[in-house]
Amino acid sequence: MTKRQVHLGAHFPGVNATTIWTRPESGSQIEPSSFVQFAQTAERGLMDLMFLAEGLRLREHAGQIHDLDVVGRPDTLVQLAQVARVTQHIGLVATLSTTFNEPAEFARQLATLDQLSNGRAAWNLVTSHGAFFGANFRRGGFLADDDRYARAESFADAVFALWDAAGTGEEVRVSDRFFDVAARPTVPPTPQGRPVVMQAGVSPEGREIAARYADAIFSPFASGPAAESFAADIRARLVAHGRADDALKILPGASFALGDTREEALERARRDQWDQVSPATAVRQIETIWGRRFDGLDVDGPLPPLEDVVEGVELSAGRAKVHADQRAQAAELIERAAAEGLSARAAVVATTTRRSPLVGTPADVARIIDETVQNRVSDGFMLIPSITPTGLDRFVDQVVPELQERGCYRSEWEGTTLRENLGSARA
Amino acid sequence: MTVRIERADWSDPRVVAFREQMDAEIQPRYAHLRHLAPRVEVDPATVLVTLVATRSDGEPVGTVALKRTGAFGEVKRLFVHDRGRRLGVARALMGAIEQAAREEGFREAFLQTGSEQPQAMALYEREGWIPVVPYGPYAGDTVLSRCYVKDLEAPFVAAVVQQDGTVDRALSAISSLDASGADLALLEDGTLDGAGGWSLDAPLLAAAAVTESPRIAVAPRVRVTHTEPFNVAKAIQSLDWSAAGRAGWVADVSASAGEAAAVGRRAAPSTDEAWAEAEAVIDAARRLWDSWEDDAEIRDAATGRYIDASRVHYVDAENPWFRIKGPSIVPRSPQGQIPVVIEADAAGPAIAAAAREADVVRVAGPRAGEASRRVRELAGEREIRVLVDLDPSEAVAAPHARTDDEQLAAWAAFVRAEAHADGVVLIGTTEQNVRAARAIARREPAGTLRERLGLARPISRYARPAEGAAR
Repeated sequence: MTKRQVHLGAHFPGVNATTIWTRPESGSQIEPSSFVQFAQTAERGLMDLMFLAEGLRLREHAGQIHDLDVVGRPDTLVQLAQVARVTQHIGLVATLSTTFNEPAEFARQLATLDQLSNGRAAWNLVTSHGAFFGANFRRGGFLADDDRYARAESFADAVFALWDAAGTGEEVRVSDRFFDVAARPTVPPTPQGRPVVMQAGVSPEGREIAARYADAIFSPFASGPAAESFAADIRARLVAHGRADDALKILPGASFALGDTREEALERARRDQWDQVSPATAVRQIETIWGRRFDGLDVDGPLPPLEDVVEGVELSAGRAKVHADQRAQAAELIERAAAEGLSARAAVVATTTRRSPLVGTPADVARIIDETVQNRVSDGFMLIPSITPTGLDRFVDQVVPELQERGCYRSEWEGTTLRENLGSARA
Repeated sequence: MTVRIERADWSDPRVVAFREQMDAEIQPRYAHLRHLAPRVEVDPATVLVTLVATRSDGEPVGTVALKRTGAFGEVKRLFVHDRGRRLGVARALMGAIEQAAREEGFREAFLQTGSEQPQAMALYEREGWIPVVPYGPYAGDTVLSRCYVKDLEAPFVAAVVQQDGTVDRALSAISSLDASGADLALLEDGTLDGAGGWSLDAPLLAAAAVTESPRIAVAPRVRVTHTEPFNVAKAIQSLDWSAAGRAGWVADVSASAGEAAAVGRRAAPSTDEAWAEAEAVIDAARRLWDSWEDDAEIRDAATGRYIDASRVHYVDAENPWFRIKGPSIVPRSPQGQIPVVIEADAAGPAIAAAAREADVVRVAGPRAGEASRRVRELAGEREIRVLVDLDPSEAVAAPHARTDDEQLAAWAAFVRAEAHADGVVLIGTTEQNVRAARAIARREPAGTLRERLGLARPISRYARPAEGAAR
């Protein structure tokens, strides 16, 4: 019996704490050559897709531009349009907001990317929080947070209608509390008809959108019970929407660390986590949780006391919020530090960096991926290297052959479009 | 014996004597033709430069002058005395007067000689002058006048690229133009309501084009009426990164009801209002492009700082139409400020925006010269470049034209000069444009679009003066 097949994505991490920009091998985060090289490596590894995130405003900490992580990135669509012309097979995922776009222009742009890539365009559907990002857009913070997903659904329906109408050229009319649109498709029918849709939110509303529209979901749960229950939940929602329970590929984001021995890999993973949390980053993480500034805090010493927490103060702006309960999170850090004798920085490393299951020799990592997919915990992984653009090289050279050996990974492309390679029926 | 060239006055007795001698030699040859084309006298007030060549013994041996003839820089009255023959006096005088014309700001020089002076014609042709249609006061005289033109610097050549919604047609057109030596492709966009047929999003198509065509710059048309200024600014800025400094932007407006309905965010504005808003959009884009200083990325491991946040700035653009906080999410691009192209005519609503915000103004039609003069006047000290439309199929041949290619190059120089323009925009079919670009372009396109336009790369408006600078 043929095995379930592994699908891999490659996330160019850019603007977040993943990229260890202090290392000499860390390349430019803005030169097109970095994106081209990254995409070509992923394509050499027969990966389904390359993923770019979006940020519509530079992140802030305590009212100032956050300067400790990679800052700045290209326009997602322009960069992918360029990559489309120097690759032949890999899917190109653009993260784009339903909040600050309008359907007619948006449908046109994605359809253009599908034409330029001969059927490899994908849209990672996200919504944006109001006023902070709205400060860069005509409408400002026009949309109540509660309406974000309602607008997203109406937006997606309008965009799909425009893509579907390309064959007939018929006018699409949308009139509801978000839109008053009378538009015709402007781009000729594209290879995929509908570009592939991804979704990356874990909220119930996000999962519903995914179950209804998406071909793949980018989840934060890489392993363990959280990943299993996430997969079960998504499958149940798919069935409720009348779709096959594997109609949507679950791709958890995961960093990875490879070594000639398991010990070497573990050491590499540990070092990556420490390098991702510089002393300055540790201070800022603590400030975010405690809700106040700690100028001059020595992170090799202890954490600040719990009574210093100022609740309800959001120092960080422009990034997804992970914990709502500051006091509980501070308590968790303090408890962990006390139990394990950790410094402030070590406590931050232990609690805020992602633990990846993909640590070991190339054979180990291939086995873990294979098992995860055969057990239907996920359909593969979205790989997030800590070094760009070369961070995928070793994975492609050493893990991919092991996966192929195990019979769970392609040796050639199944089709010409992303939809075909992903094995996703045209919605 | 060496020859020295010096400036003299038009009324310098040596020059006057040479002119009289020249008339005595030449005029009899035209006696039988004068009834067809009356002699054009030189108004001394239009003379800009007069040169005299002297031998090392002080003996004057020749003269030439440069004058302003309407829109044209005209070389006039080249004369070499018998005692200066075979000393290379003619060539030296021509070289010096061409240099003088460059210094006077002319991009091309014209001259007129006559059908009965084959030796003069041969000399000019040897010196790289090419036959051009009779210009200015000689216009219409194809009997007696034999006119020539010479590019004093490599002309800037742009070409329009149309779209039909297919990738290959537009990309292969741009790639052929790239091979022809054209500097810039102006990439058309379709409309958001599909009026006018299929098309692709122009900035994305441009990103594909600059990836496949290594030399040509590409400026997509982007209408700003229904788009988000922040998105437009970052797309163009990102295109500049993709193109390694070869991006431009044809900024335009939409007053169509169809596009307004397709987007559904607002009713269609009047063209006047749309241009007033467009000016605000371009201003906001320019601020965003400057919002990162060039050296904002520092990667300082010691302090853990990737950027120096004090070198990244909020732009706080505010106008009657929108607000933008900024900064851009894209670091400052290779050109810093990406050239903005605006199409303007002398009386239209775009001219004020063009004068205040454009780097390149595209003019066209019989009133191109008027638009060009007007926009330069309005722009004042601000540096702009003017490009004039040229339809290669309408090129007019000189009576003594030799090859078609030469004729296209001469016609381009004529059209450029007549419109006070710095370059041309070819508006024919792709095939015609490629051929014309090959005939007109005189250099391998290299460097950024700003460099090709002769525009300096400005530092960010937000940059503090360097430490130690005058205070």
